Amino acid sequence: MKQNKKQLENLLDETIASIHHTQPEAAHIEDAAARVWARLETHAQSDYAMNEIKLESAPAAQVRGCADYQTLMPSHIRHELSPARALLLEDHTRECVACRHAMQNLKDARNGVANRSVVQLQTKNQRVRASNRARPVAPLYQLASHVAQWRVAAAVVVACCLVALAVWQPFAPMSAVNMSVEAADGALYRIAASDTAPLTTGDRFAVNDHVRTAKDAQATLRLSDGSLIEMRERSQLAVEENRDGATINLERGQIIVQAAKQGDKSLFVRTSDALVAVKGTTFSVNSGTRASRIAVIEGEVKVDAGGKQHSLHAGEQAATRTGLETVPVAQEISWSKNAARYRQLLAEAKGVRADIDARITRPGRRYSTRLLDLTATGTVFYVGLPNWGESLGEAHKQLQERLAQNPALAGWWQGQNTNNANDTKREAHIGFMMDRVRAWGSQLGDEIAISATLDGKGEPAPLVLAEVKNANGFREFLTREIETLKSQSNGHVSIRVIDDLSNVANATPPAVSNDAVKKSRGDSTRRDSRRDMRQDKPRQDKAPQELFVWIHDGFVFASPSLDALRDVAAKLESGNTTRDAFHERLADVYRDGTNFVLAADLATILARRDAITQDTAQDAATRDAMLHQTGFDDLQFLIIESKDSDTRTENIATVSFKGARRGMASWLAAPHAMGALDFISRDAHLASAFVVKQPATIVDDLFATLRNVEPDALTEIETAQNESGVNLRADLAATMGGEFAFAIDGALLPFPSWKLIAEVYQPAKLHETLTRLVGKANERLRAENKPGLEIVTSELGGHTYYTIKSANFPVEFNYTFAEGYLIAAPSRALLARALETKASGDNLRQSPRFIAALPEGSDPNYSALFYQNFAGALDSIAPFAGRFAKKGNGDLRNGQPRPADIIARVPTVAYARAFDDRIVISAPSKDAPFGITPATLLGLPGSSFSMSDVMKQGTGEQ
Amino acid sequence: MDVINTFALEAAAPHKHAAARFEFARPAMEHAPPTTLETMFREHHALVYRTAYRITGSRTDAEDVLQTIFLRLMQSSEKPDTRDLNLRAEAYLCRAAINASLDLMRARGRASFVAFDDTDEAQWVKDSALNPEARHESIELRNVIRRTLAEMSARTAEVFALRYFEGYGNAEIARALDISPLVVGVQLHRARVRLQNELKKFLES
Repeated sequence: MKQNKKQLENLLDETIASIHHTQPEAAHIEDAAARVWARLETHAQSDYAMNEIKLESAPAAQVRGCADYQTLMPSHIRHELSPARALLLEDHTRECVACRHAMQNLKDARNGVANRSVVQLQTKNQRVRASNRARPVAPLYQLASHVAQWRVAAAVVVACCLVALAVWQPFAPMSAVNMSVEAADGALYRIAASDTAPLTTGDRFAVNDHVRTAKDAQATLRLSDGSLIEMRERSQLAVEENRDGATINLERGQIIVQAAKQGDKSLFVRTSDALVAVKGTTFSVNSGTRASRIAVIEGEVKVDAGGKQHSLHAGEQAATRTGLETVPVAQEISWSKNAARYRQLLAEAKGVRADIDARITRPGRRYSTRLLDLTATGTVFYVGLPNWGESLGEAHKQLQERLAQNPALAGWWQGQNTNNANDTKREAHIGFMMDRVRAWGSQLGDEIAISATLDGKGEPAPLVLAEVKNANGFREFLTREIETLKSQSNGHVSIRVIDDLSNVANATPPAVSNDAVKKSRGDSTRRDSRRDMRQDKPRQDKAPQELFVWIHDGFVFASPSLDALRDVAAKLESGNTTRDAFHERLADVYRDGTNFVLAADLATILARRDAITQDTAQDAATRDAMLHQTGFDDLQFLIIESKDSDTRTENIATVSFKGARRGMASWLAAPHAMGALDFISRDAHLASAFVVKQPATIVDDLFATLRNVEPDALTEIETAQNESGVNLRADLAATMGGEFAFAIDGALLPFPSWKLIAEVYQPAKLHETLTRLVGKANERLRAENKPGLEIVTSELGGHTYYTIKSANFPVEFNYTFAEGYLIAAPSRALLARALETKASGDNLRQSPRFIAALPEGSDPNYSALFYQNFAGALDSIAPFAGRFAKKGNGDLRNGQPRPADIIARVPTVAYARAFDDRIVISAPSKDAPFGITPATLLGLPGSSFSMSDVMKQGTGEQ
Repeated sequence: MDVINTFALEAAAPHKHAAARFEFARPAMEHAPPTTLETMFREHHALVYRTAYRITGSRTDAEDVLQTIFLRLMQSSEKPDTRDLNLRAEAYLCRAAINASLDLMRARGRASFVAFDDTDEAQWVKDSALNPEARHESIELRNVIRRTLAEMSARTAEVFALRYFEGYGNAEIARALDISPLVVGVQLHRARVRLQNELKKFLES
C-alpha cells in the first residue's frame, strides 16, 4: 500500500508518542533495582578483595574536615598524593583517632586479612609510626618476636594438611593444575582469595579460583579432562574437582560447555538454583538473577532444579523458574564464537531423536485379536506381543540415512557407540539383526502370539503364531530368510516349512537338520554357554529340535511340536470358536485394550502338578495340604499386561482365584483408607502401607498351616507361649487393627530414620504385653548374667512415650500410642515429629510428588502401597554411594546410572488392590510401555536401554 | 540556575515518589559502596530504568542498563567530582541511560532484534484498547523505530531520544550536549526522515 507523506508523519508521531508513554510497572522497577543493587554490592565486595578501592569519592578539591581527609586516603595509600597534601593528611591522622582508624582500615583492606593479626598486635606508637611511613612495614624486632609464633602456626598448618590429606584423599582433586585458558578475547581475570591477576591464553588456573570475564570479553577454558568452557562476557565461575568428576560453579553469566567423555564420572554445572549433570555433550547454562536457563545443543543433560529432575535433549531448554521465558536455543547461544557450528549441530542432533519418535508410530493398544481363538483348548500360557519389527527397523533405517547424509552426526554417533575395537563388528551385527527384525516385522500382522499347552508328560508344547500380510509372498520370504539364517549360523538352524500337515512324520528329520545336530553336538563342548545364547530358538534346547513352520489361511504357525500344529489345523477346519475360561479371560483383556499381555492358567498348571513335579506320593500329600491350607490351590489365572495411554503406561498384574480368597491368600484386605500414612511426612524417602484382615485370624491361619506342615515348629511356639505367659493370638494379635505402615522418613545416616505405624485396638493391653515380654527377656538375661532391658516412660507435650533400651546396646526402640495407632521409631524425637506431622495435616498424602505418582482412577483406596523417593536422600550419602556403586556394575550401560547421579531419581509408586477373588498389582510408568520408544531401542541419547546394549549382552561381548 | 539542572530536576520529578519509597534490603557489609553512590542509586534508579525501558522496550534490557551505568560509576577512575556530579546527576544519568540502551541494541544487531519478542511490551499493548491486529502492528512499528535508532549515528539517536522519548526542548538539548540548537534541529529532521522511510519500507513489505 502506498503511504502518503502526511500519513507517514502521523504514523511516526503516533508511534513515537506511544513509546514516550510507555511506562514500566513501579513494582518491576523496584524489583529490578533491588537485584541490581545486590549485584553492585557483590561486585563492590570482590573489588575490595581485589584491593582495587575505587568506590570512594574522588579526592576533595579543598580539604575542610575529616570527611575530606578521608577522601584523600586511598590516593595516599597509592602514593598518588602530592607531597604537600600527604604531609597534611599524615599530620591530621596523628591527631584524629577517627581518621587514623579509617586509614588503618583502608590499609588492612589493601593488604589483605592475613596481615591484620600482626597489625593488631602493634602498639599505638607503632601504628602511628607505621602510618607515618605511609607504608605498613612491621618493625624488625616485632617480626623477630613473631618468628616463634609463626613456627608453631606453620607446624599446626602442616599437621592439619597431612591429616586432611589422609582423610580426604579419596575425594582429593585428581589434577588441579591442568586447567588452562584455551583462548581469551578481552579482559579475563583470576580472582583468588588474596590477589587478582589478568589471565591470557595459555595461563593456568587452579581449582576454586574464580575466573571472570569483563564486559565485552569472551574466553574459552580447558579443564583437565579436556572439556571446554566458553564464557560469555560478565560471567564468573570456579571449578571444583574430585573423584566423582568436576563441578563448574557458575556464579553468574552464561557458559557453553563442551563436555568431554566422562567415563564413569560426571561433569556437573552448579548455579544458585540448579544442578546439571552430563556425561559428554554440549550445552549452555545461563545463570541470571531471576533464574537459570539450561539449553542443550547436543546430547543429553540431567537437570535438578528446585527438587525436580528433568532430562533435556538436544534443542530442549529448561528454566529454573516458571515464568522465565524460554528463547530459541539458537538465540541463547548466538553470542558464542562457535554459534554457527552449534546451530548446525543443533539442527541435526535435535532432529534425529524427535524425528524418529515422531515419524515412527509405536504400535498402539490392540482391542481384538484373531490369534487367541486359534490357540488350542487347554492352553495354559499365552503371550501377546505387539509387532515392533516394522517400527524398529524403520527407525534404524532412518537413523542410518541421517548418518550417511551428515558426517558431523556420524562422528557423534560413532562417539556414542564406540568403546572398543570390536565395534565395527558389532555395528554390522546390529545392522544384520535390524534388517531381520524389519523384514519379519513388515511381513507379519500387528501382533505376534506365543502360546503353550501341556502335553501328556506335563511338558509345554509352545506355538508361535501371527497373521501374514502377504500370504503369497511369505513362503518365498521365509525360504530366503531360512537360507540367510543358515548361512549366518553355519547351518545350525533347523527349520522345516510344512505344506501338508497330514503328510508329515515326526520321526524323519531331514538330512540337513541331522547334520546340524551332529555338528552342534560336537561343537558344544568347545563353545561356552554364553555363546550358545545368541543362537536362534531351536538351538537353545540341549537336544536341538526341529522347528516346524506351517503357513495356512493367512497365518503362520511355528512350533517344535507337530501335534500343536495339528490342533490348530483341526480348530481352523472345524471353525470351532468355543472358548474355555482362560480364553474368555484373555478376551476380556483384549476388550479393554492392551499393548502387551502375558497370561498363565494357574489352575490348569496346578491341576497337572503331579505330572509336572513328579513328586513322591508322600511329598505330594504334604504339598497339597500346604497348598490347600494357604489357599493357593484356588489360584486361577495370572495376567500381566501393559496398557499404553498418551501420558503414561499402566503395568498391571492380576492374580485371580477360583472362589473367594482363603488362607494366606486372603490376608491382604480389600482397599481401605490408610490413616497410618498421616504419620508419614511429605519428605519420606520410602513408605509402604497395607491393610490386612484381622491379625488374630492371620495367627490362626499360620498355626493351622504349621500344624499340617511343620508340627514341630508349632509345638515350640506353644511351649514358648506357655513359658512367657504371653499368648500370641490373644495378647498381641488381638490388640492390633488391620493397618500397617513402614517408612524411612528423615536422615539415612548414621542410622536410617525408620518409622513403624500399626493400627491398635487395645493400646493398654498391647503395652502390657510388651512390658511382660521385656520382663521375661530380663529374667533370661539375668540368668545369663547380662544387663537387662528397661522400659522408660516419659511425658512430652501431653503424650506418653515408652523407650525400651539396654545398657550394652546402643539402639533404642521407642513407641507411643496416638489416635488408635502404635507408632514406633528409633528415637523419641522422631515419634514427636510423626505426631506433629499427623497434627499439622501436612503429610505424605499432601505431597505433590506423591500425588503425581499415583494413578488416575475411580477407587481412592488401596490394599497395599509402595512409594519411594530417594532423590533427596541420595545427596546426603552421595559421596559414599558413588564409591560403592563403582564396584558393582549390574546395569547395561557402563558406569551408569550410579546412585549418586541425579539419574533415575523419579519418585515411583506401586500399589495393589485386593478383591474377593483377585489381587491386582499395578506400577504405572511414564513414557511408553516399560519406557521404550523406537529411539530408545536404538540407543539414542535419552535412553537407559538400548538395542545395542541388548545385543552386546546377548553376544557376550564385553 | 543552570538550565540543564532545571530541566533535569523537572524531568525526574514525576518519579520522585517511587524513589522515596525505595527500601534497600541491605545486609550489614564491611565494604559497602559508599554513600554517595548509594544515594544516587536510591534517588535515580527509576529514572534510569524508565529511560532505558522506553528505548529497549524490554525489562531485562532496562535492568542491564541500570546495572551497567552504576557499575561504570563504581569503577570509573576518571569520574567527575562527586559533589558536582550530584548536582547534575539526573541529566547525566538520563543521557547515560539513553546511550547505554542504544549501545545494547547496537550490540544485539539487527537480525536478533527482529526475533526478539518482548512480552513485557506485548502485555502493555494487550492491555490497551487496540484490536489484535493493531496491537501486533503497534509492537512491530515500535520495533522498527527502535531498530532504526540503533542504526543511526550515536549523536543523532541520542538527540532524538532526548527530544521525543524524554520530552526535552531543542534548546535544552543543545545546551546539554554543547551543540548549537540549529544542529539539534537538523539532526532531528534527518532522524525523522529516516524513520519515515523505514516505516514506509516496513508497511510495504
